[in-house]
Amino acid sequence: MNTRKVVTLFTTLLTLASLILSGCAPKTTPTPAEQPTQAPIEILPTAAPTAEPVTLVYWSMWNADEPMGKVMQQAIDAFQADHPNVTIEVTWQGRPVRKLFTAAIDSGTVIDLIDNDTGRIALSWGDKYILGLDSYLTQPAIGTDGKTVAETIYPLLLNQYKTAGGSIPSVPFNPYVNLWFYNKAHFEEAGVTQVPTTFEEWMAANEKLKAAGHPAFTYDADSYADIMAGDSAQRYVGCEAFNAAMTDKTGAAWQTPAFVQWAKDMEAFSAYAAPGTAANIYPAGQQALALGDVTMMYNGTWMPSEVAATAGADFQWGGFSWPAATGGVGTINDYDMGSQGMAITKVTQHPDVAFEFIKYVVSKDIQTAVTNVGYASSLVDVPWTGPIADAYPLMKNATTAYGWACGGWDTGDFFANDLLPTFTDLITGKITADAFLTQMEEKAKVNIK
Amino acid sequence: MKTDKKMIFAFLAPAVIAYLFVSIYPVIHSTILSFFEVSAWSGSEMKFMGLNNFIDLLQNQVFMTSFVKIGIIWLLGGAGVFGSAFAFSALLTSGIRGKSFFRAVIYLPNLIPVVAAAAMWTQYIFSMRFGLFKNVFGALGLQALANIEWTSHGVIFWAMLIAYVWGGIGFFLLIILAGVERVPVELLEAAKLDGASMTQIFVRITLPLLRDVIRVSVVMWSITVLNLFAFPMAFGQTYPEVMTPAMYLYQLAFGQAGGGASGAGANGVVYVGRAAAAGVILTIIVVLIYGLLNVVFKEEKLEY
Amino acid sequence: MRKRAEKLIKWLSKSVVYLILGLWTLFLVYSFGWVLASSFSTTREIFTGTLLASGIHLNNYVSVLTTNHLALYFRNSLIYCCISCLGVLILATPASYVLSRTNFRGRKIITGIFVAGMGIPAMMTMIPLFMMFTRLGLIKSFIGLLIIYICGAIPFSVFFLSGFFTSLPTELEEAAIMDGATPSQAFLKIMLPLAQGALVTLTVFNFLNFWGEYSWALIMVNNDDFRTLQIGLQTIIRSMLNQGNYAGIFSGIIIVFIPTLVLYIFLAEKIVTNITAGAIKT
Repeated sequence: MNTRKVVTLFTTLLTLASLILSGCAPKTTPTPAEQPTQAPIEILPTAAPTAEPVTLVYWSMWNADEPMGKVMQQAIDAFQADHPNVTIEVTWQGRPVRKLFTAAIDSGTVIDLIDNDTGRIALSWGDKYILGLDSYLTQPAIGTDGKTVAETIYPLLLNQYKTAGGSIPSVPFNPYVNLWFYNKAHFEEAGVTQVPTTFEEWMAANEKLKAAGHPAFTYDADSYADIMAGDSAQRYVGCEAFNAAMTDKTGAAWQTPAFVQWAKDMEAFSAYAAPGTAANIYPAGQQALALGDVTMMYNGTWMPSEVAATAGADFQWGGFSWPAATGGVGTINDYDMGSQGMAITKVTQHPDVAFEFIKYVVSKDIQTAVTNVGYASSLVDVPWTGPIADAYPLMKNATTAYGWACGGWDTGDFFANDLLPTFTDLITGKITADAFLTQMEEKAKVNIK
Repeated sequence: MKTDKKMIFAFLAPAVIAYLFVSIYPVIHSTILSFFEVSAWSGSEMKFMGLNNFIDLLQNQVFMTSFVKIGIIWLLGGAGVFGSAFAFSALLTSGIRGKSFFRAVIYLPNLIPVVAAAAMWTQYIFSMRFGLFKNVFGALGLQALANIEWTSHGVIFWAMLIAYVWGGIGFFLLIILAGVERVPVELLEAAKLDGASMTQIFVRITLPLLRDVIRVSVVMWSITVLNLFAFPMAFGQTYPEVMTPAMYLYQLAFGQAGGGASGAGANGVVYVGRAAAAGVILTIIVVLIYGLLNVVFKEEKLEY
Repeated sequence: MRKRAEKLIKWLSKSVVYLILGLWTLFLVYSFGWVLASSFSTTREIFTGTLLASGIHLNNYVSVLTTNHLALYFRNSLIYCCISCLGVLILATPASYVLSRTNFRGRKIITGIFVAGMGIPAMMTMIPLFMMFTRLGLIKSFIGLLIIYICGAIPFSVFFLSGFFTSLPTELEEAAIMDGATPSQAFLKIMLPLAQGALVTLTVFNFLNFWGEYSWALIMVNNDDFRTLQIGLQTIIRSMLNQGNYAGIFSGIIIVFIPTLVLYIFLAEKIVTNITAGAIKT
């Protein structure tokens, strides 16, 4: 191909490009979301609307096309309609925003509003980047009679993470809870009439399921081994002892009665693991649940939305808390939970207006919209619907919130490199409880520095 | 050729400047950071660590094991890739029809986006439910092979290696094939007439003439394997068994991606200083390997 | 008798060759074919191993292709790729020529710097450059990503082209200079036309790389107006991931893959014949 052909090729491509260009001008205004069919949001002007135009920059962790993105857009539209002088400039960063946020602020980018995991906001970003909201939370919420914002939200979620300076940095608006999701039709078939609350009840239920021909459980060994290990450990040994064991190089923890009981119970449970569980790569495990190949799977309340297409509208979703262990530290009212939260940055010029927007996000209307797209709501009075309806009363009765996988990831390399593979072996029936305990003790002595 | 200093400068300077513009600041920034403990990329809150970051890394079991892993990938994977590439080039040059077609077939896996390839292998080929391997091995009566849990943590490293080699063969086949085809046919015929056997011809004539092709291929394979990141990440990102140095660096620099597909979980504590140190180590290794390979494959103009 | 035995052996070995190649092709059909078939199926079918059981579903493709702004992202990607390829050629060609065919003090060092550039983990440079470019205000337009692409492709391009230039006979410039041409003219009029093949190959490599590039495009472009096709599609895929629409995800992946495939098919011959020209004697 000679030079002339190369030039021709490039010219053609550029001509093609300009043809496309002439056909579509860049759109900078976001497409309006569908209007809600509920009654319009009541406006309680708590901050006197300022006359001069205000622009708020909002970096969102959502994508414009996903359901939560559309809900956020709905909130933005509602807010802008009620406050014509305020424009919210949203950039749909997607999940990678967590990597860019602090670097952007440090390089001088002006961001007013940011949303992300409440734990990350409080502990990774903290007082340096995020405004404390304690004084704002006492403002009246939107659409309630006299309740403050703080009063409308589950206290467990609101107070779960505080910054080093002791302030609440974000308002939870998209929570999750981990539970055992199960197929109600299978339970009925097998004659299991009540959800298990203790380990014994659970094993009895599993036996019935086995007799009815249903493998009891599975999980995605690459993605969720952490909560299988950490959240079960919470019931037996508690998160504190668990975290200590992850960093104890004497390996003594693995001989204590609570740990032994944990291993033995998980060994008993492994009899009911679906074949091939150890080889599941996300999303094979949860798809298996949706297809009816297994009865139960432990996961967060986002999961049913992820398998809605496979499960279909007829799938009867149920949920129960991880059953308690006899003499164990945790109770069935302790939950691994968390939330995405909205926060205001320290570099904002308009904290009052920004918080006004946050109030819209946690208003009843928007939170109902959140539940309509399959997620849980952070407002106590907004019920969770559809597949996660069972989880709503559980959430209201929750007494303790603990972090993802009992905080295992933050303890160091030992958790992912040593515990998780060995635990998978245990819970899929490849090794016995004794082998598990011995191996863990060995590995602790060798690998923990 | 007479060296015209002005021309050399004019020709070289723009490229050098452009390249330095995007590398000088990050490299200097990173190198400085590697001597500190840093919790944010902006470099605020830095604690001087001296060489501690490097020492910690070199004593870190995960980091050092990751080098063993890519060592295995380099050796065994390299054997698989190059062995297959040579074999295929022999097959393709044995006078069959449809050479272009088969060449395209072998190269295609190299073009498949990493995400698609990983999904294809983990969700279909290796699947325990309806997987290709399970069905084929089962049909052939090789029940033991059919029952292997390829993507379980004990086997997943080898599963990934197989998948990665499959995807890599095509690129090196192209290079080697083109090199083989450049060997003058008359040479081979003359050798045959002189009574040389196939092996003798291959070892004594073809291989030496391919020396430069092989050298470039080995350099590219080495650099690719050293920086291996995307494929193991897509394959089984949380499995320690497929952790490569580049993945470990990513984890240090951007926080662990624990917590399932929704991103809940680890608060993502970031060790920027140590990540920078890992980056420095990796860069040094690349330069060393390049130098080593240049020595092993000494440039020679062959007369024939 | 002997001749027939020879013929038989020849026929057998050819059959074996075809068999091996045929099996390999079959494997490709079944494996990649799964991705292709999945993009036309439903998610349920993908995970039960019953692809296309309910016929061919085009809706996945339709929904991806009619996504807002897709044409805009396509235009943006074209702009980035074309301009970057051009920029790389302009910068790398003279530099690699000089590095490979002239001799001057510091040549080895500069070559070494470019080689080291290929080894620097990109991850380490991302955030520092992100911060630097933010401060310089380069994130708000096409410029930021263009600079990254052009400058980032220089090490490999120089490596590749140097190899090619080294393989050309040295007498060429001398002949031209004896005829009265300046060194620059010798470069422009004689070397450049000879290098066309390598330049085309390099441009194809670079184009494919830029087209499929994701990480830099993600952080260097904050504004939707300048987003690339890869990012646009990945965003769609990510949204579908959260709703478990795997059939849609695969159709998105195929859409991303098609330009790459088309480019390869059209230029395969050129790449193959020119890859050795650049590869040998680096």
